[in-house]
Amino acid sequence: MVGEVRISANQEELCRALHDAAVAIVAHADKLIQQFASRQQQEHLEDAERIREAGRDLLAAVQALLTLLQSGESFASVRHDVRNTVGLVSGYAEILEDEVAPRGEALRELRRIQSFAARFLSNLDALSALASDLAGDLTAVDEVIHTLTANTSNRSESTLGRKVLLVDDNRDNRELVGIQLNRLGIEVVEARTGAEALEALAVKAIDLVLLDLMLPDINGYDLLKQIKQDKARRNLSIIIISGVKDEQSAIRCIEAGASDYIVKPVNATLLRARVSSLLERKLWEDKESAYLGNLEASYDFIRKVFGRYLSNDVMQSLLYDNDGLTLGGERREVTILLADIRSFSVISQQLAPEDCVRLLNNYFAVMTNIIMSYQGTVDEFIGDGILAIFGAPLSDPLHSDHAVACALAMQNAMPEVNRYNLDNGLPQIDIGIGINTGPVVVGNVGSELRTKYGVVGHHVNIASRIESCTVGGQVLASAQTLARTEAEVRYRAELDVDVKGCTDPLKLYDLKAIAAPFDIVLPETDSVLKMLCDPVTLDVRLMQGERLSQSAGVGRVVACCGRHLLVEVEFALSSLEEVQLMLPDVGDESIAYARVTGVDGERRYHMALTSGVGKMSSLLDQRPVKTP
Amino acid sequence: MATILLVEDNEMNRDMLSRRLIKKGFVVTTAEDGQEGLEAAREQRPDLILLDMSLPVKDGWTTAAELKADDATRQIPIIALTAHAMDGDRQRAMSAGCDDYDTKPVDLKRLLLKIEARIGGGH
Repeated sequence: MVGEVRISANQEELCRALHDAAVAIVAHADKLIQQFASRQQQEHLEDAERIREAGRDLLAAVQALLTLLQSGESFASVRHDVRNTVGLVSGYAEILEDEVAPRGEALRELRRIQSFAARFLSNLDALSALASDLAGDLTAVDEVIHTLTANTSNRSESTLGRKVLLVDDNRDNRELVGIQLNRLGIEVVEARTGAEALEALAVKAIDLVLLDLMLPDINGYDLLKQIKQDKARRNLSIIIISGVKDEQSAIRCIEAGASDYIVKPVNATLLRARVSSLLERKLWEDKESAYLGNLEASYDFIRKVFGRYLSNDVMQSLLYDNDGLTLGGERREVTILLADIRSFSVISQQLAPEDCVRLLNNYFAVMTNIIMSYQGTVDEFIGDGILAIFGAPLSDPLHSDHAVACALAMQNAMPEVNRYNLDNGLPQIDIGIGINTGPVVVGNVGSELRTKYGVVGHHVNIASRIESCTVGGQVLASAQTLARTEAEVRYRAELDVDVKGCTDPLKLYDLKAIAAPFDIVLPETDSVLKMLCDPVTLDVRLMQGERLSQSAGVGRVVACCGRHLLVEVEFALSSLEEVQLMLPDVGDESIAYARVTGVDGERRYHMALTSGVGKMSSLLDQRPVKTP
Repeated sequence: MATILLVEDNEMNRDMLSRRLIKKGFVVTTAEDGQEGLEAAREQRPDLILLDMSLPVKDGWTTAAELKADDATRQIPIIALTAHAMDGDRQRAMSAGCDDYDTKPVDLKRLLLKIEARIGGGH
């Protein structure tokens, strides 16, 4: 132990305390990382990792400090760096304390980290105060190192059952080192030559290599380079054991990727300390890559589940943005689109459950694709309804343009949906779409167990009310949406509707087309009404929600085309009211429902059939029409 | 809101301190060396500068002296962040024109008191 100075029991005590505090910081940071990883709190993970990194730096610093003390040098030069590192620990801990849930486990860990950081600092200051005081009672250096590394040199998780490959051609050396490693609970794999070492590496899962530079068949340096060139083994820790005379080449080895070197004759305590610390590091790294693996796996899961509803962009933003997965919301202007299958409750009653699911699955698949292609997010399927958001989670300055174009495209895709239904013996359906724009709260809503990205707010309710005013084939948008839309929009009619929750009547627009860059036009319907030679008499009853009202009377269909009717009714109706229609000479079988889409002169109404479309329109289509 | 220019070369220190100050309600801009800090100060005219002393390119003492020699930046208070709790460092910082100093690692409460003494609170 030439050149080493004995240090006092007080210093030894303080060093041990420093070491323990650093170990505790790393351990608690580890727990924090585990917690954040398992809750997918990506945004905190990075800071927790910084705390751990700083904690590890502290561990290394304690080692360096001890070396300086032993060699009788002042440690003032490292003290500042150490203090700064403690500052990083408590600084990042403070940042996290501010951000994590109050009264949670994470907060408890952070408080512990803070208290260990404070303890570290006070011990460091005490040690500084002692620094010049080298007198006092002296202990053997080996003993100090022993106590310092007590935590790691005992059989611990990091060393127990780990495999160390010992490459040395000298039997005595192997035996000597082997005994020391066995004391740590390490399984020693021996190799006498470079060839044997490579063979052992190929068949066994080795955690660490102790490599003597002087080997009979190959230079240790070349062997090291060969191992490090292998991609799979690049991260394998290798400690070089060198004779004093090749210390220079040992240094070269470090540059070539060796983790450490030990000069012969090997000091047993030093050897155990270095092996333990490298194995400990490997354990951390293994754990870390296991966490990353878990994280990646849960990302895959999220991707699989949500990939059906969210576009790739949105997925990316949810998975990789720091704020992606925090609970809580932000206020933001978005456009909300609600689509509903008209009279689906009637349709579904006539369908077997599996047919119903088949119909919905195909319909949802077609619509989801369209919504994603316009950068919308399907937030929810509500029964047969689709709630889509534009402008969140990713912001989109053209959210209302995209929503309008999307709605028109969805209507234009209905023939495709109905073709599928026809081919599969399923009924024809049509949809109504309501669109509204306004500030809402968007974000992850729910508890930690069940979280969902969603929208909440008055404007979502308005969108739903707008949607309930639609008839099949129609897209109704609010004035706010139209005002926000940059592309030119054409509409068939402007409607004033009284809506629950709004004091003033809501102005709605029955959309027909959106201009460039979208260029989507709904097929013309209105202009092709055919006048009937003889008006068809109908029983007309006003609906009140799902029920028939007292208002009933006789109506006469004067013109029709497909679902669109022009009807004279003997009692007053207003726009968007719903009526039940029945041909008296056919009876119940001809029952259909229609919505008033416009008033054309006194007691003359444009109506659109909302259910029973097929039956009623085929009965009417058989009637002779006037030629223009 | 008060703006603070933080000149610090260590990435972790910079990240941490700036985030903690932002949490306290300050608007924080950063620079990584003395020269960059000098240019940022001239351009942004912050309400206060936190200046690390051991900086690359141009050290803190030189930077402080140049800031105080320039009419455009003279009035901006500078708090020196000195590496060592040594009197010599402090003396050098103060004689270079710094208005105050704090030793690293930063004790945020203490530093906030010093900042507030110069420019008032963050809000």
